[in-house]
Amino acid sequence: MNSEVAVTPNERVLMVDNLGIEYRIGTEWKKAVRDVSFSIGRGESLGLVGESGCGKTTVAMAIMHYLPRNGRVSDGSIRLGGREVEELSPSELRQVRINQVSMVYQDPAKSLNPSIRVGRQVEDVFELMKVPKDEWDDRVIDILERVQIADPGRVVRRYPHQLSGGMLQRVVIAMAIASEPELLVLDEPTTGLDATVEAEVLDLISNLRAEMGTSLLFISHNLAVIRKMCDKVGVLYAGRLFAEGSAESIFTDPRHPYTVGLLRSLPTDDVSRDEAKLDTIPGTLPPLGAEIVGCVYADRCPIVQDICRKEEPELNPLEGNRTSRCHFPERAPDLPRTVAEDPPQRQISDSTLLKITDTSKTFEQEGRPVFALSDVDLSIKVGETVALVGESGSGKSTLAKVILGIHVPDEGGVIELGGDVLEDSVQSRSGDSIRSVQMVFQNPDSALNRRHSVRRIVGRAVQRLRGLGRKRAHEHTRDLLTEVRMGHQHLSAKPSHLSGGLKQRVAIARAFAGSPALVVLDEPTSALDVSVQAAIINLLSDLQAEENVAYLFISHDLNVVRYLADRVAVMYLGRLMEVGTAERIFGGPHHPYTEALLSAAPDRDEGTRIRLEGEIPSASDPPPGCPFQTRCHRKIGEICETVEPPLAEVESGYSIRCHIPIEELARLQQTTPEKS
Amino acid sequence: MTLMWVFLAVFGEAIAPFDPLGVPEDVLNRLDSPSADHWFGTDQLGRDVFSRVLAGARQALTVALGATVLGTVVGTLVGLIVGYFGGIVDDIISRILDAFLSIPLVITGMIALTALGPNTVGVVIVIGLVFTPLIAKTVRAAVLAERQLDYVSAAQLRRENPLHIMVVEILPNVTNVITVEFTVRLGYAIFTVLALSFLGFGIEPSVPDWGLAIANHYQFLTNDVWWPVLFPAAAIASLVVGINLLSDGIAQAYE
Repeated sequence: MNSEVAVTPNERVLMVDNLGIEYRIGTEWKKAVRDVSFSIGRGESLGLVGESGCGKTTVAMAIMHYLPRNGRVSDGSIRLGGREVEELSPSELRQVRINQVSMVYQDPAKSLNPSIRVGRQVEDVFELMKVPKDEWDDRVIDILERVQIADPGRVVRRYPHQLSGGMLQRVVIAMAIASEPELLVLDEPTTGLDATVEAEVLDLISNLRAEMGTSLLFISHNLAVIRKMCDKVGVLYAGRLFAEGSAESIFTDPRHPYTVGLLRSLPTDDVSRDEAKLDTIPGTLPPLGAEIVGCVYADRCPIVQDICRKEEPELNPLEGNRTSRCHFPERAPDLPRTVAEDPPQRQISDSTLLKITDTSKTFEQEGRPVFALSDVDLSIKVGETVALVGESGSGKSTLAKVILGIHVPDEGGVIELGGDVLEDSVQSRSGDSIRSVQMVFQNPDSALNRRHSVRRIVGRAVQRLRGLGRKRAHEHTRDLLTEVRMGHQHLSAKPSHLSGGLKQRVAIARAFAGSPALVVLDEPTSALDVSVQAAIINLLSDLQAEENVAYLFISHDLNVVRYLADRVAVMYLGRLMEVGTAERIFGGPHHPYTEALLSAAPDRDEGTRIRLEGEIPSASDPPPGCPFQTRCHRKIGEICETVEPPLAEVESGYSIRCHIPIEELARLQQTTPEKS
Repeated sequence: MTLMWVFLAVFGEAIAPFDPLGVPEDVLNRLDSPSADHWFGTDQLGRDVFSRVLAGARQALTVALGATVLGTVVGTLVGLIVGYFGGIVDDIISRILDAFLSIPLVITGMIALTALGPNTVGVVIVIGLVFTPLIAKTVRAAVLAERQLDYVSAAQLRRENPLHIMVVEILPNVTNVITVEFTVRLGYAIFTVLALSFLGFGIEPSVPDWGLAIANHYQFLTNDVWWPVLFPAAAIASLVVGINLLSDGIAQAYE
């Protein structure tokens, strides 16, 4: 891909020099970005990567001259096509934004006006470009076709809420490229999207870039996405550029301890939780505007030396045309592991803990039934981790809520816990079964009462679930905090004073308050940064070994699933499509749907990508026959459209719902080159 | 400004230069224009307008405050219940609230007070109940949003009873909405109380009251006797503006 783009290094589309940005908090100006320099040549793509709070978006906003009212550029310069952004008059700025640079934001639903039809909003762009009115219709259709929207005539008449997230992001990208800008700024453009949709949007961006020669500034926390999309990468930390270089060099041979740490904290293909713990980055980001003597990373760096605490390192040039803001870049590759201990030993017993039989859940929406779950059969053993994977809308969360008793399943289904039938609703369950099944929610900001202290949040759960008095409950609360590796100084803190990782630890402590037998983990790390995610995964894995608890782990991150799960269940449209051990599911041969999911990961080559046609069908109107037949790339014929295949156990401990015999699938999938 | 009126409501009668209820011996002092002795002049019975304005603060504030507290407490309870349970409970109670809201405020008050006769407690109850549906609707909307958050599910997962979830879990998260609503309603309550007393409902005639004072003297306006009307009116305006500023400040502080 990169070779197709003609890069002329002398033409700089964007030059950022010693940029400093401040925010006014109260009456003080605090530095959010310091001394950041980079440039993007024509046709080049630069990725800015870093964890939340590192200043990625702030830099992008400054480039667009969109800083919020309490922000200002305090030092340095930003030049777009040779012109200083800060010195542009309002009308010049308008022209620059129309013709030279466009931005795509993270949440497409928020970038479009919900009460105006999509077509009209795209027309606005052409109006600004002073295109004659009679050409608008054609130009709109044209540009929507360019972003591979299949039926643009239909889409223009829709309102934003009638379109899916992936479709909306295409519309926003279409608006951004309509004026053929020199530079496209993309701020986490795929973060809210499903992996399969993300893969398509990323392909689209690469194709457009190759076609139009647009330069990209691509901002993301997702290292794999940046690696796939960018020629050059800048690593931001606490508002400083820590390292810059070609994507290849940054990711395969990093020369800054932070970059090394980030890459190591990602779970990889070949290691599972029983083989090694994930490496983490201890500590937290310094607060905004903190005045630190020496290197800002010193407190978290495993190879910190005396000089690091006295002198801030320069952005030193290294061989291979790259830089690193470190006194000892040559030592970074041999960084000692921060988590040295061996993974905890655990035993999965053969006794079944949870058994779900024939469970369905039908919601009613505007008088029409919505089949959220259909005849689910699943069992979880004592101490085991079962992962649920599938696109959004596949019924993962509904299944979890049925198990927890928040949703009452349809008649006929049976859920047994340790051999006893569980009551449908949490209200009618016994104290013991309530204690035994608990949950960690996706977003700790929503899951923790923001008006209550940590002591109260965890303490109340201990009181209720263990039936302890106030004093005993308090002692137990302290023990629980120790168990989730939190200091007791946080006891009286409110959630808003804790970092994301600490908040999730509080939520985990609460779920473990009554020594549960099964904890449902609903995307417990998806709201967290990479380095924090690793620590939480390690914690979950330690707790499982200590408490012999079973997990039902809901996630869209297949690398995390592969690392943590013993067994995997793949869901589609409320049905289990494939259930087996993690090794078996990832190793193949796969169900065609799983095959597509796996191939959507950004670290896969585009050549082997299986494109899923269209979107997941509506659960209120499921297709006849196999639920996946409308999008299946291996559909064999009429049987798929008329007969729903059963979930058949074709090997011991492995079931699949497909008409194609497993031997045939194995043969088919061998012919396509597959990395795993 | 609001603080000043609250202070006057408590101490107004004590610091007033003349007895707000008493009539000076010299009845010739009736409708005197403002002078060194009587800063705001005197009214048709020769009473000191300045003293009566100071003393009137208590009447306006206590009645309005009582009514608003009553409306807020009942409204919050109804809003919590409706927002938390939703479904059929919400449908039924919300329609009843809508029905109440469709009746004009002052007319309801007048009818109810005609039935109850002039007494302060009656005014408090009537205005409080009239405000209840407004506050209930606001609280309901806030509770509906909170109800979607996972901490409510987490509480259900440890089988907390609905009362605990409503009062201990949800209520602290909607207090900001309630406080703002309270101050806004307080401003309206003052208007309503004074409008009713201006119309002659709910207040015994001898009590120093701004609305009553205006009602008793506006017919003299044509004779260039502006002071017994202007000063109580200015008092009303300054109090209501003060309270509105206060509510804006509170709303901003919560953002």
